[in-house]
Amino acid sequence: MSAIKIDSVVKNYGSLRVLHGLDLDIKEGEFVSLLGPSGCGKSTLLYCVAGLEDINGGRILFDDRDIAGLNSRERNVALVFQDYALYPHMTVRENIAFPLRRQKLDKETVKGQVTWASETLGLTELLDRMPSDLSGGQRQRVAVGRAIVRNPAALLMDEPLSNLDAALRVHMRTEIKQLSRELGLTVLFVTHDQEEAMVMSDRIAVLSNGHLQQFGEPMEIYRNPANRFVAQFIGSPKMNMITSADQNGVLLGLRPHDLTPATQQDDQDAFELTGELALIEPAGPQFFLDVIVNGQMIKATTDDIGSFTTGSEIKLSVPADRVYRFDAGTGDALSGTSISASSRKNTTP
Amino acid sequence: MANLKFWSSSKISGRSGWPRTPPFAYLATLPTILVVLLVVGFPLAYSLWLAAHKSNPIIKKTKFVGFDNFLTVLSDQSFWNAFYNTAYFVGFSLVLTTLLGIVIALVLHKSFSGRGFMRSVMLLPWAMAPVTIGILWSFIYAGDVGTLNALLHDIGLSAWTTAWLGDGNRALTLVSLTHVWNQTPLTALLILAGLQSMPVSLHKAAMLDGAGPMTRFFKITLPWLKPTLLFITIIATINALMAFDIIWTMTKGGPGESTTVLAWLGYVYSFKFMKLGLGAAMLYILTALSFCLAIIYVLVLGPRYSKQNKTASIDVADSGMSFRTPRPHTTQAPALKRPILSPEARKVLSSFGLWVMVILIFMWSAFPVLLLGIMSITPPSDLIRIPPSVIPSRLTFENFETVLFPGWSGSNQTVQGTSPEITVLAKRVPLSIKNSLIVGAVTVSIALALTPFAGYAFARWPRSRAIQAGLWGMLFTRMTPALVLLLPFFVLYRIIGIDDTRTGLIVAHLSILLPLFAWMMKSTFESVPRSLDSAAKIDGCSHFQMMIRVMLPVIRPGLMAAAIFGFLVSWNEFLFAVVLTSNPQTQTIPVILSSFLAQVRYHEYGPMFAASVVSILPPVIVAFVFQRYLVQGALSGAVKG
Repeated sequence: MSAIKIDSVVKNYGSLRVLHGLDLDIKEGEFVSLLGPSGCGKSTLLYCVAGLEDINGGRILFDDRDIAGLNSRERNVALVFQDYALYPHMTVRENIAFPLRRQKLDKETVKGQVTWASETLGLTELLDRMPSDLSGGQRQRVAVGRAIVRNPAALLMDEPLSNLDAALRVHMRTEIKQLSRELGLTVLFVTHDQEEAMVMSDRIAVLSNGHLQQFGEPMEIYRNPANRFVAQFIGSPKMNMITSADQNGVLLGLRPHDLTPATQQDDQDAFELTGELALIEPAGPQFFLDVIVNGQMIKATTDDIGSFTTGSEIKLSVPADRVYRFDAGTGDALSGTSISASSRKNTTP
Repeated sequence: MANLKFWSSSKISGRSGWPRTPPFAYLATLPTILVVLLVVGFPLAYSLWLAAHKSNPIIKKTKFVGFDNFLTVLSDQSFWNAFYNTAYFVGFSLVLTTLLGIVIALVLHKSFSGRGFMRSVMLLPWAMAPVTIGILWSFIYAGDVGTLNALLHDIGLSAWTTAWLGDGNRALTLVSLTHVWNQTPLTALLILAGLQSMPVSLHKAAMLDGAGPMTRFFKITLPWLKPTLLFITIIATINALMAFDIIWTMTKGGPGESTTVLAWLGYVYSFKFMKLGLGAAMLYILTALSFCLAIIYVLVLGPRYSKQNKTASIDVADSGMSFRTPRPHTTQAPALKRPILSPEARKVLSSFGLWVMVILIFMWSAFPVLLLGIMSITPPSDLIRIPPSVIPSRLTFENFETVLFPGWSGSNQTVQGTSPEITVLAKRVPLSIKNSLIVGAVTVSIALALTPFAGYAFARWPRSRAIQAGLWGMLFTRMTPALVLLLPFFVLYRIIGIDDTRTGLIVAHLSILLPLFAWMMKSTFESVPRSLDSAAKIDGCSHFQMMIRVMLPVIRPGLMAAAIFGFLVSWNEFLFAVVLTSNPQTQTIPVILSSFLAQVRYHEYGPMFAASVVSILPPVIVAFVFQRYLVQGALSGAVKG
């Protein structure tokens, strides 16, 4: 296992720049997610680390060693692909053994490693099957097995869970996370699913448009988003944005989970909004409320639907320290989340 | 609006957007490109040189004449006569193959028991060598003892019997019809593939929208098939323009000049009259004609691209949902109609119709082939008796003994009506089979050794300019008819001394197979996900190891398909074989078959049909056992002949 340092990495496709000088410092044994919408450059960055793409500027260091001149076979990284990329003409056993065979290891070592990997992942029963005979979840396991079998410097994963159905995806999340803990793997995990990134990662790097937006622990990113993009990308349903009435050029961000129907006991500092309840969406533990406030749809939540009916007026409130403030022009978060007292009664978004 | 910027600028795969091409890509394409340059490019250039010169092969003097040869050809009356014959031939076959092909494909697209078998049967006329087809049909239409006349005689219509190919206009139509019989399976196959790629939901949606079978065919199926039909039109036109084998075996351009098409005229000028310059010019005109037609088709039938840019996706979440157009009026649902026929009756009727069509297709495709089989086990004397009859007096395998074990039958028994000088030809059959096998196997092996690498590079680096140039070169050579190469091969082989050798024939067949295989390999690799390449590299393979250990095993079905398809192409090939080989040590089976025909007056029909049956065995086996590979090969390589 290695620490990975990504130092102002630049990547161009022709005249199009897709990575604009990224910096990331990944510790040994750390689980880091690269999170962003499709096309943000997260997979490209992964491929650059894997050596499948050349970089046009900056450096990538494994344990302080620049790996620029090395091609992918010399970097000792493992990659789990979105479509698993299992070799269709080989059995599960041959698939897992393939990278070891390429290293010209002796038969005993190969056998021992394959046995270990297949036991770790519960693949022992499947070793003589062909990939086409496996279910999606089993294929995924084989792909992981092929990746961990040779003790790679880093385990790179390119949206490995996105082809699985919802239940299996949640299950595999836990399994992969546990595995990475047990083996002390340095993992770079590419995903566009913010929830996946939140539950699995030690740290998350949020990317957009080839720029690093924020790099931090999951809850830090959730609670202290560096800018409007991160704020809206993390958390579901996504953060409401309204323009501030008393400060020009300031956007207020309100997370639906923080925004609830106002009650009498509310904090003096609470920030309040009034609007028309347009839609109630039951979502199991909670209800989502769609409220039209001055022509804008605002999402709120409540545990108890009470006597609310669609079409009626509703007052929403959010604790003042949960109101995020952003510069309307740059989108950067503004320090100091408190709201002045005068805006307390202000219902104009 | 917040995300608009982020989503819309996310298209990475811009025009310039691919990483640099590794040296491996060039290395992989180089061998194929070099060999193609050698076996296609150089001969093409040479034939262009020929077309611009006047040469006298006897005194071996050549003179540069510029465009004179072209002008001479264009002012020649027989050229224009051939031009009109060609136009008729092409028009006739194009219309009929397309119509029949659509019908056959629609029927074989339905599900019924025995569909796989019927698809194999349907392929038979196309899998067989055109030479065999010519032999079969020319005997069916033959004047005195022909099968059609025999049949008419048997059912008491002796008055209708005639020399079917004796009349000029009728001969051209019958030859065109034979070409249609040969080519329809290809059209049907391509349309069938188009039909299978059509999403089922499309028809279900149309049904719910109230469209009947006819409406669905014209409004959904046909538009869906449009790109396929464009492709078919181009292929069918080229194949018809270049049709040569059938003319050679059936009419030799006659009677008179009534079936002389341009391809035949070019052949006659070059190899009968030895006017190499004129012949080359004519074949170039023919090639230019096929390219022009292809371009016209694309312009008329091709896809129209709208210039509109795809607009950035709209951020739905932020736009709210307050702006809605009120519904203008409610349409009244039409009243439910009671069908004229009960559902049961309709079911019975449609299944009856389906089986009628299936039987018709079976008869159209298989009947002539079965006839060939029967004639091969009919005593030779039966085939030439007067009055003719289709019913054999007895069944015998002596014809097969004659052609397969000539030594045997010669010593053991004397076949009735077989004189010693006739069996000379029959004796050559085993050797010609061996030659065909050797030429086919070697050609396919060489092509398989070279083209997967080129195909891989074509599929993986389509944006590299050098690779693109190679790809266009391949496309161009694949569209270039073999006829144009024939003349330079003929002359060049004499110069370098490989005329009349199997090597020469292998080189000639490579000129067909290499571009074809490169194209097939390209489309095969396009269906292999790129992640597999990356996985192999990450797992420690070099480019070359990746090819050997991962890519080639993965595309094994594609390799099989190419091998089988390519072998058939070589096995059936007649034009190069008949011109480039002249001694029995090198001649392949189609050439021997055609020699039987040249001696047809000696009434060696029995051995000729036995040899024909032997010659169609590989195609028939492939059609039934390896149908899947044949179809895959035809679709991915699309298509020669």
